[in-house]
Amino acid sequence: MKKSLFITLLFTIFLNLSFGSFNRGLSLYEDGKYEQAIDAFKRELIKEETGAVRHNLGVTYFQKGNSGEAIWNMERATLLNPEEEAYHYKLDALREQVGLPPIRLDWKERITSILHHDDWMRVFAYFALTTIAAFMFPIAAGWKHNTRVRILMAVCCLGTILSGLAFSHVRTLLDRGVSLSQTPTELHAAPAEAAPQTGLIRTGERALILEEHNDFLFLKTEGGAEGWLPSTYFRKFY
Amino acid sequence: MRSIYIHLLLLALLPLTIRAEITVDARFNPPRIAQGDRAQYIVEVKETSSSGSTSTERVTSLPIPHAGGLQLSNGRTSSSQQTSFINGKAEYSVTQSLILDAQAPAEGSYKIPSYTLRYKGQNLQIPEVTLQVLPRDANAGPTRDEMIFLKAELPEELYIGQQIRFDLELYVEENVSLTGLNRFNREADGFTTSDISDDAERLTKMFNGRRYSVMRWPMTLTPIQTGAQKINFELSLTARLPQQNTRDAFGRSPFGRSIFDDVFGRSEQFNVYTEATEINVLPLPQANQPDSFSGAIGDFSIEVLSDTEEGKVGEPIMLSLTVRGSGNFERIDEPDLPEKTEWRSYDPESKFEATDELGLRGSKRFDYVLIPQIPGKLELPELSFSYFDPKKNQYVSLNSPALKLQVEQSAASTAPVVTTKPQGTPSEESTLDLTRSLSTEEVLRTLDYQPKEARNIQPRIEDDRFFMVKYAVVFIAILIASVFLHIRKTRRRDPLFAQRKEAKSASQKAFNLAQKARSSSDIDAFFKNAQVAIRQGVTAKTGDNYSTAGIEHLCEKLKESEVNEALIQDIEILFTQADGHRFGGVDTSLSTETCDRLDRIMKAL
Repeated sequence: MKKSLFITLLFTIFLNLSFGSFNRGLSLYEDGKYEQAIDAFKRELIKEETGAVRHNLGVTYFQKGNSGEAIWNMERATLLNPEEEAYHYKLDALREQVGLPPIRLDWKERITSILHHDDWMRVFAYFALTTIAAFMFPIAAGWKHNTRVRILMAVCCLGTILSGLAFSHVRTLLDRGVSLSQTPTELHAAPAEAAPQTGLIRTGERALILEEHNDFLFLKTEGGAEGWLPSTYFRKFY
Repeated sequence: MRSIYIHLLLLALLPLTIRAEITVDARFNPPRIAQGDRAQYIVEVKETSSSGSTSTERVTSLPIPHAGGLQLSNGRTSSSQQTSFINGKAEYSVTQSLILDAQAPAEGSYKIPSYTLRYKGQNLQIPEVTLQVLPRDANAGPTRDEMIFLKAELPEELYIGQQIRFDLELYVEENVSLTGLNRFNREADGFTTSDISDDAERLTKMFNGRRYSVMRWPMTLTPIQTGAQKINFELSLTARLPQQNTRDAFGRSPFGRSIFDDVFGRSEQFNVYTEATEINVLPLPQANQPDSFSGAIGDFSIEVLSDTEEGKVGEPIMLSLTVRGSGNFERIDEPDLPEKTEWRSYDPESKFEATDELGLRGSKRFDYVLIPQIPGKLELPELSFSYFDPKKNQYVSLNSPALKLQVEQSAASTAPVVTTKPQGTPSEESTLDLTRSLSTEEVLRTLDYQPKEARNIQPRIEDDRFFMVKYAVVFIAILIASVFLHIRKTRRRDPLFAQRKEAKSASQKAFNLAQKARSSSDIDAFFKNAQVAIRQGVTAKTGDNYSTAGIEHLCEKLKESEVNEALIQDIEILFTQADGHRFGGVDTSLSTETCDRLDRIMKAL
């Protein structure tokens, strides 16, 4: 009896710990205890990372006045649940708060966002192998290049090229992130704080990592500025 | 029981039997000084007890009726404790000293009269003391105050909130060796001042015919109360002064003047003070004070610019206001942005860059984020900045020019609207509108209460060896299949290959029929199919067509092919048996040996 009670208690505690963090974070936020709400949401992340948790973290950081963290978490939420219109709207609203324009996806990003990075790699592998087979088998077996074979070869070639381009584009996006500093930060001409300034990166502004050296990153911001930034001020999305 | 009450009574009366003895004394140290020197007026309150240390009552002021013509300043206190054993008995004493610096305006005798000090319920009589100020000898060396002193040039008048720079200077005569600066203090209740820095500017100056090393600290001063405000600075330091007998105005020791008197000095710790100064702090004039004035005092100019000349509805632009000049930058707040319906604005960020070490000169920039709400040629809100110029004693208002901006319509979709609809039939919705859009700020504060399944976004596949192995295996399989197809194609195109294949197939088929005939004991069919199987087998082996060949041809070919002799013999025997049964009418039974022979032949072929 005692043993079963103990096991039940242990299970209940475990349940609370694992499933209660999200709800606890919600109630702490509603009570205005933002720091504790952040801790609760972070505990939930250990169990499972969802767009809702990242979204709520972003909202809580916004309440605390930490725009950089708010924007990063909201960006992550849009990646986890891209179908959520509200996340995109709030990301634009947060960016607006720090003086950044709303995000406009170009056609390449719209297309490549259909699938995840790993899925694009699988698609590319399928098409590539199918193309190899489509070329090699007719030659090896001596099949006639009739219309069906030609169509198959063309489709496979096109699929390989397009999926390869999409995968390559998605690959570069892995090195994208945002600035976390609370004020506009200088970009430098060299990986050193004392180097001359070449530009500015705003709080929450997106940038692409072009190079890394020691604790510095060479970035190209969405505004077009290029320069070196200490890596502590920047965080990638992936 | 009675004894307990007696003991309790005695215990209660015990503190009355323990009384500390309190004595008070006053003196000048030294009692005789030369004109220009300072003396200390010291009042000592001493409590002595033989039963243990006592707690003193802190004395914070002395009710001196009049200073007798002396200038008394820099009051401070100190206390000391002492325990002594006299004839085996311990005696505890605590001395509280109240010290004032005394300076005489001229030579003569100065008296501070007797007065009463109330201490621990007792009236203590402070005795009268006299200070003798003797004329200074022409050959006498400089006083301590002339050798080392603190100076600060301060204005007589300031406006409240006006921040100024001044220099605090410590003059050290060339014969004095400064060994340490211990503490800095200030008496400036009506002001805020900066602290002195660890590094001081060092220079050399001539003052009153003497050469001094000067340590200079630039500082700022800002009055925070109006009226006459006292200000005074103090430095506690340790210095080695040239040997001087301060008790003898003529610079002689009781034992005569030593030739080393001016060479070896004594190291002592003391305080130096600036002269007591009073600054008249004026209030800012209320007349003609602009609405946009928020406390800036100094001399400023402004610069306003926008980061773009055109924009789109809903896309933010930045308006920067830079205030340059000198003054109290820390009190300059962001100018208010007038509200206009065509703009939505947010609180600006500010950044200050000083061009001097004290932060009195520089520029302060305010960046406003503005979002146009409608398209068209819009005017940016005008900014006003006002300050008070203390030199001109008037307010100055600066206004930004009206910057125009061309705003285009944005192609972006509008934000999603969160609506709430009433339950039930909407038949009366023309009177009640229960749909409300949340503002952007309200939306930003709204949580997501339902976690949904998220897709896996973390790229893992490149670290997944199984993925690489799987596709490598597929690739290898494609290569192998290609090779196989090529071989097959080659063989199919070879007529000899086709014939051999066909013969092999026919041989197998005939053998199967022979086995069938064997099991059904059909000897005719057995021998017939056995011969076909052997002929086709030889055809498949050799590549030549022997489907209708006789035994002689068969054996001849097999010999050419260097086949085993035993195999040839088996074939001859089987063929002889077959021909004999089929054509010779020989009654041959289907023995096991015959069947095994056929099996051996087919296995070899």
